[in-house]
Order: sequence, then structure tokens, then C-alpha cells
Amino acid sequence: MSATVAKRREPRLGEDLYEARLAHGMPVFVLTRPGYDKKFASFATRYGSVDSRFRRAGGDWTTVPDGIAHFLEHQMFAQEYGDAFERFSEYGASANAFTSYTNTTYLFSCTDRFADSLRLLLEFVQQPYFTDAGTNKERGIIQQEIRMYRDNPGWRLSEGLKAALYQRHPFRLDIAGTVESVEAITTDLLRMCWDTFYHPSNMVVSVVGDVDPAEVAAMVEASLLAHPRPEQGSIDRDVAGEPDAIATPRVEAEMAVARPVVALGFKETDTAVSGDAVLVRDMATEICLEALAGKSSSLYNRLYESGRIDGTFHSYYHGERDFGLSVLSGETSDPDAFAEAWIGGVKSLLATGIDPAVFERQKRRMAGEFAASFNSPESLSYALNATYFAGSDLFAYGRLLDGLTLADVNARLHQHFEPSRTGVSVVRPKG
Amino acid sequence: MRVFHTPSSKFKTVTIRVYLHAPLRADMVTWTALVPHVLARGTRALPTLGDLARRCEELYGASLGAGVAKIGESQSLYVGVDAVEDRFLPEAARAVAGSVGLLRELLLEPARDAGGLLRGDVVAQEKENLAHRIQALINDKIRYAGMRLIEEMYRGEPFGLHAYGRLEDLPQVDAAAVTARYEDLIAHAPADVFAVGGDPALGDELAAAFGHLGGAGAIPAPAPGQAPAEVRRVTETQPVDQGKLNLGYRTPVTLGSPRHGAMMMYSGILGGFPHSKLFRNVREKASLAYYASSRYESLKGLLLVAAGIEPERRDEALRIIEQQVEDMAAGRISREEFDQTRSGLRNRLRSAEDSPGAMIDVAAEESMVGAPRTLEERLAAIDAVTDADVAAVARDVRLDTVYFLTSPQDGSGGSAPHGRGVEGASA
Repeated sequence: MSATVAKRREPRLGEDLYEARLAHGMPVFVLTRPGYDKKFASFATRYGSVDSRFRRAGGDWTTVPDGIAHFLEHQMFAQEYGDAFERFSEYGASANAFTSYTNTTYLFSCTDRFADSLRLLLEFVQQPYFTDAGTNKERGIIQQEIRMYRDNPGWRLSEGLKAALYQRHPFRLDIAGTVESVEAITTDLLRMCWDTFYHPSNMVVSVVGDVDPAEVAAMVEASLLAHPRPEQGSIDRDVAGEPDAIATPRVEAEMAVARPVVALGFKETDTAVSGDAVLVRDMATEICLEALAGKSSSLYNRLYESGRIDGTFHSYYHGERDFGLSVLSGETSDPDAFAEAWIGGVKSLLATGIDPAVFERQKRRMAGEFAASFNSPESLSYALNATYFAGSDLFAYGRLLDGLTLADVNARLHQHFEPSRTGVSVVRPKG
Repeated sequence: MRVFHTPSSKFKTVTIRVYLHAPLRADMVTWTALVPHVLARGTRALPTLGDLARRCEELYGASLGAGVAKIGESQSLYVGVDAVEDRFLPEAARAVAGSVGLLRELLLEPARDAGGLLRGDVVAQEKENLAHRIQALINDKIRYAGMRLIEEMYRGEPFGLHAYGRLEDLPQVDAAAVTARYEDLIAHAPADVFAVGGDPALGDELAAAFGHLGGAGAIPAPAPGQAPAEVRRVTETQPVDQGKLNLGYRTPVTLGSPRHGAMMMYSGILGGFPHSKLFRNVREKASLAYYASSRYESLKGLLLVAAGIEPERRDEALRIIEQQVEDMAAGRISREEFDQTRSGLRNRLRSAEDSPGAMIDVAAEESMVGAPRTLEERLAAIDAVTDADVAAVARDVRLDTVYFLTSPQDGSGGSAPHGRGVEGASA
């Protein structure tokens, strides 16, 4: 019953990736890091805050309260023997978990007793222990967490931007839900969501460190056998038929901040991509943003030198299968002038297209940054999970970057950076 | 000047950071703070942000940085670069040598005006940016509360100064003063170069590039100081949803002391981990907080406790936190707490060796009180700690200041809305 482990090599970086497919098709990835003392493992499910309305094969549509994926993440650590966090502490490991819009990830890092910690990670995620007392206790902690985020201007800014761009998609809501919505979360609902989404067919394990890939695969295989699950068909997720048009051009909030913080967003409408095309979409968008607003761009320099932006300015793209956005954000004394300047920049870039020299320089930068990303076991593990869930492959990155053409990037520029699909979020000083 | 280079083949990059250390002093803090931001605006050969960024892109995404860090009572200016090793790049690439050269240029060949000063327009603009940066410290409430605690606790001591400097100094800052400050740092500040990755020859290259830097002497190690007879209590109000409760304790045990390992264990048992007393009792048992933890700033001898709580439950949270500290002093520490903390600390120390940035952070702190210890020495110092050692340091921990950031409506004794109120001992 020992799993077949396949090995692939990234010749340029001298990296080896090992992969085995186990029960229900669940993959385990191992990226070996010779010379590293630290081992990092993550166990992730393709289940996040946007999955609030779904249907199992042959079943009816179900709608659950907002914030339940995150609540479940908290609740999983409560085990019959006590707190799984503390068990990791006993092993000298450091454990954590996080919920994103699309995934929930459980993880640990350690230097000693890796096998004990890996077994524990696999076990507690596959073996929930739900009680009403536990649910009620955790609710108080989560409500504190929600309050904590509400005091963070960066969080308020991005919540505002999602609300400006999205009309219906649950991406527009807070990952943790609201103080009110978590009141409606019950033990039965948690169990039902766990049963639906924490199924091996919807999950992935990835390990990065100086470990034996065959041993890791055998341990994961044994753990899946010890927690047998019936076959489960695919899960349909209702993404609410989000239209291309934005919800509202502007969302404002007031907080105790020193001066206004602004974010200008472009809504993703290329939502039918999967596989390698997801990586290509990310790369092309990154090059567009660098050409427009990177530190080497002429507009960034002009706006910095005129004091319109400062060192807080940054831009990024976040794209998932059926939603996403590009963001230009920073502190500024005049949010309107900020937004106007960048929209003007987009219009001139659309007119000229991207400079071939800029395109080549950005590809060179990204090739270097991809190599540098192999320093970090954490980011490698997350990248393995993300590329798997996207239907692609981390090791395809170099090849896809090499193959990216200026025409691809210009096409993406015209498709995504559409001045009519922008929204602005502003957090202003209160009082 | 000292060069601390750890050659390594396990990373994809080389990571280099050059520090110039200046004593934290009110009459220099703001001027020193401004220097790296002016340097980062351009060099003689690459005079704009755009020129620097293009050069970094050509060097396969070399990442260049500059800033100031507070390390104990040193305000340390640093410039640094991460560059991908040439063996992972196309054949002709020379990203490492190019990055060393770029870093040298950034620190030693800044763009100047015709009169030889750092450019007046750049200084004026970076002054304004620094003012905004200082004002924006209020934005992140968790960090703001931590910063305000230190400001109140060390009022009148150099450690109370923020590494960004003081708003009130900025009107007096001009290009001539910043240039003078820069030149004084280059000529006289103790300098350290840290590098991780690459082969041993890199150490020689760095010595050649930066070897002439660094005045005599070192920054004196800070004194921990005494807690006041009566605990300082400060409540400040802002429109916040969650209250931020921060406690500052003084300990005579600092980095370099034979009792340092015991104090590391102390802070770990109290609030360094999910199994620690604070997390278990404030968050898990009382369901009172999302975060509750402690941190030991070992150059100064400062123990910080921080918790995010419902504003109206301050007294309950304070009672539970103070109970944990009392339990520590009374030696109420279980075998599990002790052993788990030791393995947790060992794990942290060993894991840091797998991150170039973390390695440099550790070495930079250690180097303030002598030659940085090896990992094995640091592990041995933790392993040698006994229950009695922890009990002994626990008896020397003194509460100094309680700082509470809360909403104006909570009725827990805050002063006027948006104001700062001070109760108890004089501030």
C-alpha cells in the first residue's frame, strides 16, 4: 500500500519536487530543503469565506452564515484531549491556521519531532470535536478578533474597496463575518461545513524541509486510511452571478488616522480562467502594474516628487478563480487627485502600450524574485497549495514566465485596466 | 568596522546589511532618522528613485532598503540589499557584485547639489514625508499602544525616544544639518556589516567596499533603570472598537547577563507561546481577548505585556494578567509549562538560522554587547536554566506602567474624548 512518489526537477534552481496522489486523489507535495533545520507543513482545504452558498452532488443548495469557514478554523483546534495548539507546543512546534476568501490552511513549523507534529496536524484536521460549549466560548474570541480588525485602517480600506467593486459576490464581505453573523453559527452548521469541505478530494498537504519524501507520503497515506471517508462528488459553489459593473464608485469611512488613506481598485472580469492561465494572468497583471505604478515608472516618480504619493504607496494584484482586483493605494492629502492621476496614467498607458524595455526588465526582476522565493519554506508551501488549487503547478512558473510575450501583457492591460470598472475607497481622519 | 559574514549554499540569495550606530539622543534623533530616507532618493550616478529601481530590476530584482532601527539605546542607520546568487541566473549575470556596488554607492556616494550638500529639495520633501510617517504612527492601534507605553514608561530617558524622531524638531532640520549629520555618521559612527549567503570571498569584498567606515568605540549598553514607587497609569481615548491594554515591567536582567537565559524562559512561560499563561488564561479561559502575549526587550531589560480586550473589561483583564505575573513570582510554574517553553525557544532559535533576515536581526542585537554568540551557545544558555533560575528572575520583575487605549464611551476612567489622561503617579 505504499504510495508512488513522483519526482520532478527545476533545473535552473536545482530544486526537486516530490508528489504522491493518495486516497480520493488528495496530493501530498514535498519540496526538500537540504541544510534547513526547520520543517514546515501545511494542510489546506479549498474552502474559504466566499463559500457561503453551496450544494453537494445530488443535494440541495444550502446557505450558511457569513464567517463560518473562519469560525470552523478556530474550532478545529478544540479536541477531546484539549487544545491541539498546546499539543504542538509539547512537541516544540509552532502551529497556526488562517482562513482566506478561498482556502483554510492549517500549518506548523518545527525543528524537532517532525513526525509527531505531522501526525498531529493530519489527525486534528480530520477529526473534529464539536461541542456547544466550545462553540460558545470561541464565539467571544472571534468577536474580539473582528473588533481588532475594525481598528485597523488598512483592513477598513480594503473592505471599502471590495464593497465599491462588488455588487453580489461574497468576496465583498469580511472573511470573519460580523459580530452579528457569528451569533447565528451553531455546532450543527460547523459539523455540516466540515463534512462537506474537509474531504480529501478537496484538500492538499505540502511539506517543505529536509525530510524524506517517501516517509512523508507514507505518513499521510496512513493517516487518510485511519480516517476513512465515503466517496464524495464535486461541490457546486454559488458565486451569485457577479456582473462586470462595479457596485459604487466610492466608499468612505472615518477613523482615528492622521491623514487620508486611499485605494483605487480595478475589478477583475476575466473570471473564466483555470490552470496555467491563472499564473499567466497573475504575471501579466503584475507587469502592467509595474509599468504603470512601479518605482521605475515615470508616473510613480512624478507623483512622488510632487508629494502626491510617498513611501506608503504600493500596488498589488489579487486574483482568484472568479473574482479579483488590482489595487493602487497609499496615504495622500488629496484622495481625488490621487485617483485622477492614476486613472490618467492608465489612459496614457492604454494609448501607448507597454514599453518593450520595461517588459523585459520586469521579466528579469520576476525571474530573480521567483528564485528568491525558494528561501522561505512558508511561502513555498503556500505557493504549492495555491498553484494546485488553481489547477497549475509551481514548477511551471519559470517556463510560463519565459513564454510570456509583450502582446500577452498588452492584451491583459486592455482587458483588465478598464477605467469604467474602477472604485475608490477612502479612510479619512475622524473629527 | 566589523564584518560578520556567514557563507552558506543553502539560500538562493545573499543578504547584506550595513549598520551605522548612533546613540539615541534627543538632539540628534530626528536628524539621524532623516538621513536614510535622503540617501534612498538617489546616488551621484543614479540620482532618482526611478534610476535606482531600474538598476535593481536589471540586477534580477535585487531589493534595496534603507532605514533606522532602534537597537537597545542605539539608533542604527542601515542600508541593505538582497540579491539572487549568480549561479541561479543566466550565465552572464553578475547580480551579487552589482548589488554590493549599488549598496556602496547608496551609502557613500549620495547625490549632492552644486555646493556639496545633500539636495535641498530632497531634504525638504523627505522632511515632510517623515512628518507624515510620525503622525501616521497613530494608524495601527496595536503598534501605537505599544509605542505610547514605551514613551510614557521611559519619559526623560533616551529609550523613550522613537527611532523616527520628533515632530517638533523638523522645523529646524535643513539640508546643511542633515549633510553634517550624515558626514558625522560616516566618519565616526561604529559600523557593522552583516552578510548571509554566498562564498567566503564575499566577506573580503564587503571589507573592501566598507572597510574604511566606522569610528572608534561602541554604543554603551543601556541601563535597565528603576520602576517608580507607584505604578504609572495612563489611559488614552480614541474612537476604537477594541481596547488595547499594555503593561511595561522593568527587569535588571539584560542581554549579556548570565541570567539572560532565565529571563527568556520567564517571558516565554508568561506569554511567548500559545501554551503560555497569558494566552491560556486571558484568551482561552476567560474568552477575554483575541491576543494576549508578552515580549522581552533584552537589551534594555523591558518586559512588555499586550492584550486586545473589550473596553469595559479592563479591570478583569488587568486582574488576570497581574495574577499570572504573581504566579510566576511565586514559582507556580508547571513542569509542562517549563519544558514546552524550553522546546519552543529552542525551535525559535534554530528556525531563525533558516532565514537570512532573522539571522542578521539576531546577530545585530547580540553584537551590541560583544561578539555574537553561536547558535550552540545560545541554545546552551537556554538549556542550562533551572526552575530556581526562573524563580529568581521572577522576583526582580517590577511593574512600571499600565497603558490603556480605549474608546471614549467605555466609562472606564478615560479623560475627555480624543485626549490623553494620566492617573496615579506623575508622568
